Amino acid sequence: MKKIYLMFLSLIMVIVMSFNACAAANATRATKKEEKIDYDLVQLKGQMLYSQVVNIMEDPDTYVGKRVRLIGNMGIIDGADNKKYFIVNVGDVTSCCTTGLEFVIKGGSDKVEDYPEVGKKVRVNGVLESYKEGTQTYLHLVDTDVYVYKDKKK
Amino acid sequence: MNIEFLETLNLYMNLPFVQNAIIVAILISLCSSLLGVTLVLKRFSFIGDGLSHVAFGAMAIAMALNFVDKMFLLLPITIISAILLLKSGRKAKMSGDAQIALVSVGALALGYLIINRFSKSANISADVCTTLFGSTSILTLTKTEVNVCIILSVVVVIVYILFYNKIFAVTFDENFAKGIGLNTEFYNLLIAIVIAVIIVLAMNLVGSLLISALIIFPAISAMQICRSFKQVTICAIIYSLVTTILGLMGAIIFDTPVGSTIVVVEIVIFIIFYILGKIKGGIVA
Repeated sequence: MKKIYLMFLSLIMVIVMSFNACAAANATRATKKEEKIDYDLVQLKGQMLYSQVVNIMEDPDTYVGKRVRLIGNMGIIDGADNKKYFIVNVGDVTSCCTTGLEFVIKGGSDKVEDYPEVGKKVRVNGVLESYKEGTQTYLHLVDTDVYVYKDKKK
Repeated sequence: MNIEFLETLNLYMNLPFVQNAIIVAILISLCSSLLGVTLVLKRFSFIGDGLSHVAFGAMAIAMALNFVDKMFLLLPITIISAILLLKSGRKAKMSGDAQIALVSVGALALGYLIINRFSKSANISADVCTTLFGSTSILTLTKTEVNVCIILSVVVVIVYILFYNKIFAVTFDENFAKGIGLNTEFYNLLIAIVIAVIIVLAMNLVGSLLISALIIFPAISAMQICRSFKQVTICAIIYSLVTTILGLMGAIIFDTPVGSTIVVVEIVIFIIFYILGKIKGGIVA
């Protein structure tokens, strides 16, 4: 009985190890393929997009310095001293889980009129960078190209 | 349409966080199915529910205290609760199921109150939703959480294999096991700790409210068609692995909450097993 369990456990471990090997190889292949965009999240939707953005925030070292492209909804957060933070919001299918990735438009403007209207569907393409404010470290996309989708006619 | 589907599947399979989710899901389903057989036979099915709510309460405290890796608070609190619940059941004035119910609802209410009042998170409803129902938690594990899940799962499986005969004896006839000189107190304590570890791990996959399904369904499904303890255990493992992978892949492809999708797949396959059992005339739990 123990031999059967040990063989079964070994088989599970082999499967698990092969997945780990594939993850490293695939990550390298993905980076080599895309010269301009390192992480193209445009094809991801719903919880996959949400999960990928969360993973970017949880593991910034992997993504900082890389060009990321994603689609989401425009949002603005009001910070201290009237400072505005411009974000692209992504959420899962239930809209229960939502998160946002801050971005700075090409040219570095911080004026609301230079950014798309809140709620508009946007595609952003920028380089991920970390920065410090006070004691906290944050992430944002810089040198960002923004494309605003037209509203669908009803 | 088929080519698009395969391309989408290929795209998702190449994502590191999906691969991590599959690895962790396989290990969690393996552990929970092993333990589920013991719990169902000992009539401890609802202890998973009670402990998962305690774990939710512990998660709430971890969020309020801004813990980066919440498992380091979840594990000790859940383990202590498991030991207290399983040990005190025999001697206390309150019956075991009443204690579990008390602890369960108390922890759930307290946890939600703590999250509501003290959590520093930017999105409280997402935290609550994902903790209770496991909608995206398996897809957003940190590297530390993945490594801890792998290590703990391997430890649980090794413990089960090493102590299989003793766990079998204590499960089926504790008095007989005591009579032949087994230290039943120690093995019950070991089972309690293993239960707690699996509950904490399984929260990442299906959330607090649905953990019982992950533990109970494999065992009761296997019991519909299998006769011996060995057959039930092996069948439960296969059932759990298949339903977890199907559920996880289905949730990823069709963009549905992971926890609920896995449980729905389990229900469907349980019904199939039940019908097969009726046809075959197997043992019903």
